[in-house]
Amino acid sequence: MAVEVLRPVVDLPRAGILRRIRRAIMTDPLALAGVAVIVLLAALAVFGPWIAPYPEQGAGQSNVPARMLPPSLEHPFGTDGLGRDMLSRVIVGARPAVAVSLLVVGLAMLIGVPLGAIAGYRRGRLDALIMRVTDLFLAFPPLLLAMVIVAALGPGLEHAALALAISWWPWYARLARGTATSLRERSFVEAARSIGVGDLTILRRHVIPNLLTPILVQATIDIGTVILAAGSLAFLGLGASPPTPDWGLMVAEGRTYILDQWWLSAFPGSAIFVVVLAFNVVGDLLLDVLDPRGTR
Amino acid sequence: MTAPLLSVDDLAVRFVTPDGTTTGLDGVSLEVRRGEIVGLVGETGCGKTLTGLAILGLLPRSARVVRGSVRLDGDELLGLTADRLREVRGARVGMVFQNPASAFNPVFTIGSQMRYVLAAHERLPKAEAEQRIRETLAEAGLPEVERVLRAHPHQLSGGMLQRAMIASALLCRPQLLIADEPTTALDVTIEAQILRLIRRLQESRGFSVLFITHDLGVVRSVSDRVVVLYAGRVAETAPTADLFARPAHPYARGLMAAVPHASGRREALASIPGAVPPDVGTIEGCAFADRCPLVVDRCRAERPLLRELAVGHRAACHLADAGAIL
Amino acid sequence: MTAPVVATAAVVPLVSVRGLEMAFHVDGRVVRAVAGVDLDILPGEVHALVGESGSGKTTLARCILRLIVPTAGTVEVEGRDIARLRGGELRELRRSMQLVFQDPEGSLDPRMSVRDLVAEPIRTHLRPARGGIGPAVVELLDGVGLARRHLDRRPHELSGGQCQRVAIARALALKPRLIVLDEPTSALDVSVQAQILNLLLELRARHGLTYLLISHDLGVVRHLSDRVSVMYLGRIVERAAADEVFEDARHPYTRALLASVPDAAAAGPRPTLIRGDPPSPADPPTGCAFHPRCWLRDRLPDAAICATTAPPPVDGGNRAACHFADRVAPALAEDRP
Repeated sequence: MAVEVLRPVVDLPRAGILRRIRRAIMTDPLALAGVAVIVLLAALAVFGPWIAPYPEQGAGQSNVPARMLPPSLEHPFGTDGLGRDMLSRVIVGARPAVAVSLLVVGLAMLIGVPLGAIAGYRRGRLDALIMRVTDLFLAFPPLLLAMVIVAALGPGLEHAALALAISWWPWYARLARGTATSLRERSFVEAARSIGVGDLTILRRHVIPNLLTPILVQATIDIGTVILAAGSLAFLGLGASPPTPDWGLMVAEGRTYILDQWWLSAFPGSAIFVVVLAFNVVGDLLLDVLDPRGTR
Repeated sequence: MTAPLLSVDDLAVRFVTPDGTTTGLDGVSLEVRRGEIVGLVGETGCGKTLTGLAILGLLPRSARVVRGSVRLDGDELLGLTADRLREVRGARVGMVFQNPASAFNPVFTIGSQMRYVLAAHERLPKAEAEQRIRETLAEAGLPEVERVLRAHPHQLSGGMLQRAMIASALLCRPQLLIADEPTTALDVTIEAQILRLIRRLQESRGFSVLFITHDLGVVRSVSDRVVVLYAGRVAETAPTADLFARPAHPYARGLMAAVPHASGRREALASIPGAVPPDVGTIEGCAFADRCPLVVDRCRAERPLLRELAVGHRAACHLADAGAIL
Repeated sequence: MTAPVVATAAVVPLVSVRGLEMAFHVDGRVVRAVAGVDLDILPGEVHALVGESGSGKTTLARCILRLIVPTAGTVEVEGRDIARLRGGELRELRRSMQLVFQDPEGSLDPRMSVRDLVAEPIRTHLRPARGGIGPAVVELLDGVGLARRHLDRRPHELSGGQCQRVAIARALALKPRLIVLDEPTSALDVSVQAQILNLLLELRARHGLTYLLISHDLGVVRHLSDRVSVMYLGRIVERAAADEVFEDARHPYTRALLASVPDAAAAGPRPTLIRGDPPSPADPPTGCAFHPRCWLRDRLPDAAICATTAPPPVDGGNRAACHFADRVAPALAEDRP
C-alpha cells in the first residue's frame, strides 16, 4: 500500500557532505574546538619528536639535576622525578596514544563489523552462533582479560591494545548487526538478491558500506574512549611500562605527589580529558552530517 | 449568503533552512463554507498538506508564514498564542491524518486516549463524558464500543483505527474537520467505507470538511467543491461536477488525462512533461508555464490571477476562457 | 497493444504454478499466506494479481521469483521446476525473471551512482571485460528515457519517477523474459505514473516482455493488463481477461472490489457492496473464505453451503470460485430501477 507517500515537509536539496561539515563547524564553536584539538593531536602524533623542546627527555632520558621543577617559562609543564620536561613528555606521548587507539578501534572494527554484518544479514542459526560468542566476550570483564593477557605475554602497550581490542569488538558486532538487520529489510538489498547478486557480494557492496555511517560515528567517539581506557590500564600497571611516555602512566607516576607536585598528573590528565572530549564532540558532529539522507 | 466558515486569504509560507530558503505556499486563497466538503488536491510538494498544517498552526519549525490570513468563523487564527491555538485545535477544528496507526499512542488504550482528548477541551461530568465517547464511536461505525475502548491500537485493524480516529476528531463537535489523506494507507474496500462514513457524518452533524488528497477519484466521490493546488498556488477551484466536466486550467486537465480509469480502459494516458519548479517564489509568471502545452509569452511574464469563468468556477490561467479551453 | 492472449493448449505457459502454498509461523500459529494457487502466466501477456493487502499476492510473486521457498506446490518456468535448479541454471533463472519494486528510491542503494546501479546486474551475470559496460549502460538508460547527464547522480538526487526508470533499466539489463511489477507506480504522482505506465507498455512491445503486475490500483490494472487474477485470503477467486473482469465480474468479491474504487471518471457515490475488514489469514472462515463479508449471500435464501463447503477452485473451465457465480449479475440488475 502507498503509505506515507506524501511527506508533509518539502525536502530541500541537501548540500554536499564537505559543505555541511564546514557549515556545522562554523556555526558551532564547540565543534570547531573539537576539530582543532584532533588536528593538533594528529600533528603532535606525527611531528611530536621534532616539536618537543627536549625530545630525548620526552622519550625517557633523565636529567636528574632538574627534578621536580614547577611550571616555568623554561619548562611550561614543569619536570618530573627524573628531571624530564613534562611538556615534551606530553607531546611525545601523543603518538603512542593515537597509535593504541587506532590499533584498538581498527582491530575491533575489523573483527566486529564483518561478523555483525553477516549475523544481521543472514539471521538464523549463524546469527545465533555469532551473537552468543559475542555475548561471551562481552560478559568477560575487560580488566580481568587485560590481567590475563599481561600475565601471559608480559606488560607492554601492544598487549594492552590487544586486550582492549578483544573486549571492544563485540560492541561493533552488535552495532553492525542491528544496522544490517534493518538494511536486510530495505528493498535495495532484496533488489540485489532478485537480480541474482551473491550473498557475499551483497554483504560487501550493499550491506557493509551502508552500515558504516553509525560505525564511523561510534569509532570516532571510541578513539577518545580507548585513550582513556589505555590510560586506565597503564595507571593500573597493566599497560605501557616506563619509560614509555604514556599519558595514563604519567598520571599514575604522579599520583603519589599529587598534593605537592600537582603538575606531574595534571598535565597528562588534562591531555586525556581534552582529547576524549574532542572525539566525543566530533562524533556527534559526524552523526548529524554523515547521514546521507539527512533524516535524523 | 453567509460568510464562509473558513477563509484562507493570500497565505504565503516560506521554508528557512541552513541549505537556503524556498517557497512552500505562494498566496493561497480558499474558502470552506458551512456544511460543505472541499477537496484540496495536488501532487507531492504542491503545498496541500502545508495548507492544512498552516491552518492548524502546526507548521514545522523551518516554515514561516510570510503573509496572509486564516479566519475561522471570523476569528483570525494566524498569530494566536500556542495556548489559544490549542483551544482551537481539537475543539473547533478536528484533524484526521493519513496513518491512523501512528496517530494513536501504542501504549494506551483507545478509551483512555479519547477520554484525554475530551478532558483537554471540555469539563464534563464523568458519566456524560463516557456517554459522549460511546455515542461518537458508535456513530463512527464501531458498534462494538466496549471492545474498542479497551483495545490498544495494535489490536484494531487499519479501518477500525481510522474510524476511531475520526470519532476522536469529532468528540468535541468541531465546526471544521481537516482530513489529510485519511484513506491513502487503506485498501480500496476500506477506503470506500471511510469515505461514506465521512460523508454520512458530515450530513448528520453539519460540520464542514477540508479533505486533502492526491487522488482525483477520492475527490470526485467525496467532495462538493474542489481546490486544485499547483506549486504552492491555487490553479483552479470549482464545484466538483463542474471541475470534472469542464476543467479549465491546463494542469487540471493534464492531471485528469493522466489518471487510468477502472471503469473503462483509456487508449493512452497523457503525461505532463517536466517537473514541479523547485522554488515558485522566484517565478514571475505562471508556475506551470514550463510544462504547459498552451504556453504563450504572456504566461512567463505575468502571473495569472484566479478569474471567474462560471459561477463558483475560477482558474488562474491567462488562456482559461471558454474558447481557448476547447 | 496486442489482443489478450487466450489460454489454449497450444500456448505453453512461461510460468506455471501448481498447488502453491506458503505458510508462515506467526506467534505460534500457522498463517497460510498463499493457500493453494494454480496460475499460468502466458508468454507476452500482462497478468495482474489484485486483492486487498494480506491477500497473498506479493507472497505468491516472491515464490515465483524464488526469493522465498514455498511450503508446498511447484513453480515451473518454461517447463522446468525451479526448486530443482542449482548453480548455473539457477543463475539463468534469476536472470530471466526480474522484479521492479514499489518504493523506487528505496530499491536503489543510496550510495551507488546511476551508472553503477545499472551496471550491477550486467557485472553480476555477464562478467564482461572491463570498460565494456559503458555503452550498454547508456543504451539502457536511453531506453527508459534517461540521459547521460544522469549517469553520475545518486538516487536521492533523482525524482521518484527517475528512480523508477533506473529500476526498470536495471531489470531490463539482463534481457529477462518476465518482469514482476510490484506496485510499480503507487509511490508516484499521477502525472509521473502516466509516464511510467506508458513506458512499461512501450518496453513490453519493444522487447516482447511478459509482466506479472501486482497492484491495488484497479485503474492501473485495467490500463496495463491482459488478464487478471483476483486474490482473496491466499486463493484466486476469479480469473479472466481484463475486460471480462472489469465489465462482467462473476465473483461477488470482484464486484465489491470494483464498486469500492473511487473513480475519477464516475460521478457521485456508488453503493458499497462490502463491509468490514478482511478476516485474518491466521483464522480463515470455513467454507468460502469470503462468505462473512459477502453481499450476495445476504440476498440468497439458500446460501447455507457458503459457510460449509469451499467453492470449486478457479481453473480452465471455471472463472469464479463461487457457488453462485451465475447469480451475481442478476442480483445487481435488480438494484437498478
